[in-house]
Amino acid sequence: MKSILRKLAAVAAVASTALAVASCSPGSQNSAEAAPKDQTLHLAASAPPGNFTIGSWTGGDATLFLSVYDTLIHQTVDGKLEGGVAEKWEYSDDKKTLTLSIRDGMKFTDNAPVDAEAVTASLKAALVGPSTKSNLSSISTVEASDASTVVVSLSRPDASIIPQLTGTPGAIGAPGVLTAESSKLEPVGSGAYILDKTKTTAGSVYTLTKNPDHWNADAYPFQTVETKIIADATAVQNAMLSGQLDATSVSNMEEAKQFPEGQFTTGATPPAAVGGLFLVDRAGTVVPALADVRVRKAINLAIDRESIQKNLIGAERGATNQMVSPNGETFDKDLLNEHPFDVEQAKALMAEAGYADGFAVTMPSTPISLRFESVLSQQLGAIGIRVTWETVPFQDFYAKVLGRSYGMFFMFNGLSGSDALDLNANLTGVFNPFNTTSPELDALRATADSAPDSEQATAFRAVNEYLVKEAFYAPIMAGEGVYVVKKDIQFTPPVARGQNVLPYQPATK
Amino acid sequence: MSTPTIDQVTDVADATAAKRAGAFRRIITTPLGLFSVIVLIGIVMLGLLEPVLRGHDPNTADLAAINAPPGTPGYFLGADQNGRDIWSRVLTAINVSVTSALIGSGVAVGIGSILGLISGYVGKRVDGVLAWIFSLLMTFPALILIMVLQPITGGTYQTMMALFGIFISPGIFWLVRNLVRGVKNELYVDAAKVSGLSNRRILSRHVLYVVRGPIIISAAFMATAAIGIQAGLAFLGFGSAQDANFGTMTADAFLNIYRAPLQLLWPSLFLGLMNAALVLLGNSYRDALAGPQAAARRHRKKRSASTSDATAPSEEPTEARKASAQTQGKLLSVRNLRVSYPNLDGTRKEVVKGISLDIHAGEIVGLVGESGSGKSQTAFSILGLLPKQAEVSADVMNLAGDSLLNHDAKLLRRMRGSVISYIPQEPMSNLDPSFTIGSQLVEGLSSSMSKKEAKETALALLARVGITDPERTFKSYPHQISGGMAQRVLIAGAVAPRPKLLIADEPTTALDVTVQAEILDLLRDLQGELGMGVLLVTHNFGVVADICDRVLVMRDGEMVEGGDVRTIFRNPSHPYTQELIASILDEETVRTDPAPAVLASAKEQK
Amino acid sequence: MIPFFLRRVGAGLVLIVIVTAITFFLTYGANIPVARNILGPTASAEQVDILNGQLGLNRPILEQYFAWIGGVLQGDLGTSYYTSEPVVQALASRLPVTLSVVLLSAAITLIISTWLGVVGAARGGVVDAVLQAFSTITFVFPAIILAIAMVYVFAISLKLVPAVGYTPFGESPERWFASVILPAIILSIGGIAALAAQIRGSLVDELSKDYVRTLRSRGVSETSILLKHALRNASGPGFTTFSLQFISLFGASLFIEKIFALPGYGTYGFQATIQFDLPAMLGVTLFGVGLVVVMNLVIDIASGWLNPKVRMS
Repeated sequence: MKSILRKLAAVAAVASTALAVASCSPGSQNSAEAAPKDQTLHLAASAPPGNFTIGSWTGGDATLFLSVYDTLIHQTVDGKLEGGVAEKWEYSDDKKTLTLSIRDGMKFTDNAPVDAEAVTASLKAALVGPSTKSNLSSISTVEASDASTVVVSLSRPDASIIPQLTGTPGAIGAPGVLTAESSKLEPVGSGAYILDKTKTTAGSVYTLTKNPDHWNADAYPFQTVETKIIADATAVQNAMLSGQLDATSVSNMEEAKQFPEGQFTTGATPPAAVGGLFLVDRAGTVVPALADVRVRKAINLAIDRESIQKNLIGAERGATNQMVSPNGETFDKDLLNEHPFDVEQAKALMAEAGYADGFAVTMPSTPISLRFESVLSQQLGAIGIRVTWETVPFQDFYAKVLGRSYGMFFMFNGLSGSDALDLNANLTGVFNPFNTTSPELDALRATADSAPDSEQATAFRAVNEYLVKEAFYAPIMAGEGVYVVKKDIQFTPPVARGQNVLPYQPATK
Repeated sequence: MSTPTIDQVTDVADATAAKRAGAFRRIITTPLGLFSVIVLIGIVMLGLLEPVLRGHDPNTADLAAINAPPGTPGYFLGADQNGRDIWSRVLTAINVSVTSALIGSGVAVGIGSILGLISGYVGKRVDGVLAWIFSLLMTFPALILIMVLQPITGGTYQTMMALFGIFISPGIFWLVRNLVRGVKNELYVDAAKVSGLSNRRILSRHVLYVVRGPIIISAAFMATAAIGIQAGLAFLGFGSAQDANFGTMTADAFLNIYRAPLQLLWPSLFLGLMNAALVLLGNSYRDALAGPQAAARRHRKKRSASTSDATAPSEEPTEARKASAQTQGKLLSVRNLRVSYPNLDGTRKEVVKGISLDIHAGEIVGLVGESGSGKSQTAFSILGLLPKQAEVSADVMNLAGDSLLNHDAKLLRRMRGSVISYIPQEPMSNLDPSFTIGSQLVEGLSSSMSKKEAKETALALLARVGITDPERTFKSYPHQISGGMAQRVLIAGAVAPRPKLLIADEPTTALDVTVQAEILDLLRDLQGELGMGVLLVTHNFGVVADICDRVLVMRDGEMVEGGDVRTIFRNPSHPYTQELIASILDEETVRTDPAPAVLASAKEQK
Repeated sequence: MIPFFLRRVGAGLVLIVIVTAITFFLTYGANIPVARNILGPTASAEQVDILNGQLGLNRPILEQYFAWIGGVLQGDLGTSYYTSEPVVQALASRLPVTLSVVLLSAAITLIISTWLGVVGAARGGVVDAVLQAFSTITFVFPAIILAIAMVYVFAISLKLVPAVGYTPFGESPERWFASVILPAIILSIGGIAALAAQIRGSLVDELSKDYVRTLRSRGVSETSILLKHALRNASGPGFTTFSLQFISLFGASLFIEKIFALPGYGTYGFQATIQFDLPAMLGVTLFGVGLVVVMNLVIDIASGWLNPKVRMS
């Protein structure tokens, strides 16, 4: 299953082509007039967008979706939250009511007004949408209290709702077409761009033309954005070198070297994913040993993260023992000393747990884990854990993991730019197939979700600390990606992934 | 991407020559055969010795070695962009390729040959059903189905190759089925049946023996196809990447082309070597099975410089001039005509050994002899229509005052179109099946007249040679008319330019007895009308007695007797002539053996 | 001719039904967690259920099959899971791309290999040897290496043609040509040698036939004998080889389309297959088999037309 592979690989190694966060202050952007009025931005995506219907967007790279639809809240390049469709938002004291004030005077591209009613309809569609439902599961009702106010009621405090509303779940579509059949390929939104039907061939080329009526139109200097679907990485490379594309990303600086310095600008993008062992069978259902926290700690101690990051990824930085972004507020530098590489101590813990002779474990072998398998076998073998790698076709990976076939596996999970969201994701779905939790963890999460803004970071640090100390995972790396753009384009690497084309600007001469 | 092409398969079927013993020995005595065997064995050995030869684990990545150039200590061929040992990966990839080849061609050969044997040997309804299934299978879009059917292949290359083997098995099936059908009716199987051998033993001992060679050749081509498809699918990202293989290696190297272009060389090199070795092995095995023919083919090429145009021996110019003087006033004069063909060992075999003959205007001369006597060779050498490898020489060869020796091809061709003409033996095969009678007649005429005139002339000629509905025949294709009609058409074509000399090569032999007489009458009438000289080549003294003024008897390339028909008929001096005359009475059946043996074998060599 | 034609159409329909049924039951029956894979790792079981319901994948497989067949009969092949485009529409929009490359490549193959075959048959000797060498080299030399070299020279260094993508003919004939010529040339490489060898062989056979000698005896020029008579009679076997190659070009275009990122039938099938986009996979299969059936019919008709015996009866 290449698409999943690609998605994961994309988050794994690289900041994907459109790692952007809407930076909303129009004044902060360098002059739009520096660009010729008709300048086109040429991008590539490795897989076609699936479905433009509200609540049905699938896939990692949401550039197209978030260019066509505006979101309720925006996130700046450095991760700050700003007003979008909702100019302002406000929580009640119990954090269970979110009041959104809709910006005045906006129109959808079919001329319908973007008002509280339209926002309500759109959010309600997202609440039941197959790809957004679980993201918004804490929302119980959405109501328009007046023409420009929407009240969102939550069944429980949920700190990830605001970050969710900056992404695809927060996208607002025109009420006339919300989930109509036509919305799949002909979306109607109020975003910065309009999908040009005549110059778009599904699965091949998607052309966006600028929406002059967008409230923040000045921030988008490109008249046209053309996204080609190119599955083959070498074809992308050829297209870049022949001048047909303006930007791409590669996995490391070494790879970026094949783009001549005179023609291209390269730079690092923030970590896009954390990779490591997901020690999911914390109840010991299929691998009894994993129920013992000492065994999980021993695994953490047995892995030489620096060496893996240095030798396999080729980066000095990026080794981590935490599942959150090293750039985020939740990341705890002091915790980095937890579970250092120490085989002797690991062995001692194994013995203490009654596994002095180790145990056998089967892990799924995927194209993603392939290059790490020999080193993991070797390092885990040093403390007596005998790993058997079982080849799993990609299309079966999710199903097999969810079917509780494996006690632990190697994988990457993407970083969204919101720690709340990321911590949530790591305890959901494929990343928590045994649905393990503990009263302590539940309490910590509830506290974090309902904490006032000023205390939220601290509260989430506590959740993170718990996960690290209880060795829920054995994180290994969160390395930076590398972008390559043509000299006439200026790219600002955003903190968090996947917004729209805002990070691309014409280069100032 | 490379599946066996039709011509490979049919070539394989052609290669059913009996010479099989020592085929392998013959392969390794040819340089290409030896090369391919050595390369193949070498590559397979590399794969088998992988555990011993490899440096690092093929999937182990080491940053220190990223893009290491060839020759880096521990990295014989260097390392790829992930720091994996290319040499180790090549060795693993060889094993993957060899396994793919074995599975792909093995499944194809297994299914195709077993069912082909059954289908060809049992025949009847079984054959009908199997033939239908395999013709169906042949039209499956194999590549797409292999991809689409991933759920049952599980994405491993082994199962993909097994599936591929099924899709290409029709090639083997048809090959084996048709060979078996051919063999089945041969005598020795009948003999075996009579001697009470069971069907199974007949199949395994006799039939399998015959089809073995072609199967091996096909298998070699299918092996290259399997290797190619496996690599191609892996290049696209199909199948597990757990085992290093040339497809993923190429894909990796492709991505890395601007940094380390050399990395693309290794998978290409080994893939190319393996395929080249298999193709060449298949070709040399085919040549080995074909045996001496292959050698003859090479030989012909060497000698192809020698032309069919006759050359006068230059050593005796005065002699030639003297002979030339003697032939003045005759329509055709030939002195000391020799025709020879190359042998396999480089010597030459003479089939016409210095004969001389004369034809006067308005005279019908019979040239009589059995098959292989050299009579047709003599006739064709006068026409200048012998195959390229024939070497013709004569002291004199004059036609209507012009020498036919040392003329350029263009002039000879013009003479053929006007002065000298030819009526062949077998009417049907001498007409181009793809063009109408009319267009073929017109083509010969249109050099000297307009299209319209040519058409009118052709119609008049058709009427003249006794065709009742010329318009219809004009528009007909050769397969739509009878043999007798076809011969009339050919006669019309031959007399169209009002030639001075008509050479008729057994013009009635292939026809029904009743038609024979009509054709001879027609020839005689036309000869009288146009005053042509005629050289009538035949083995039938009856025909000679019927129509000829003079007769020449040939045997083994030499002239044994010649003279007035009546004289010779009454008083044959040579025993051979007596024999021929005696055989007139036996001549009831239509002669079926074609032109002389040499011509036939020359044809086979093509 | 007509009953024969109808019989072939009937056999073709049977083939289409069999192949698509096999494919349908093997793919839909394989229990691929399609909805899960579409929704990604963190989707809940409930979301997966919703999507399965939307896609109709929670119905019994026979019901799904008859629904599919019903759709096919109405010209509806379903909608792609991953691009939301109706499969029929997708195939229709991708066909011109593949046909552009394949037809151009077929034309190149036909012209060059006929030329090589005629020259080889007429001249023999060195030309023949060169042909043989060419044939072996192209057979073993991975076309991909050539593709890379040509892209590097013509697209990246000289910038004569684009490295990726397709321009419709209607938009700009010149840019259309530039976008397909390189893929077409690379696609031709493998076929030229085989077809040239085939044509050469058939020509040599024809040239040794009796009627050629008779034509020569009438003073017909060698050029006319070679190009008019022999080539016409050799065209039958040549055409069979060519038509099989033509079908295989569609398979080979898969690789070429991927390298040049051409939005053709091959990339569509490739994308559909790696994603397990079941309706698209079925559509591609149906289309592929249909193409083969149509091609075979065309071959039958054309070889009948080439052979007067068949044509007249």
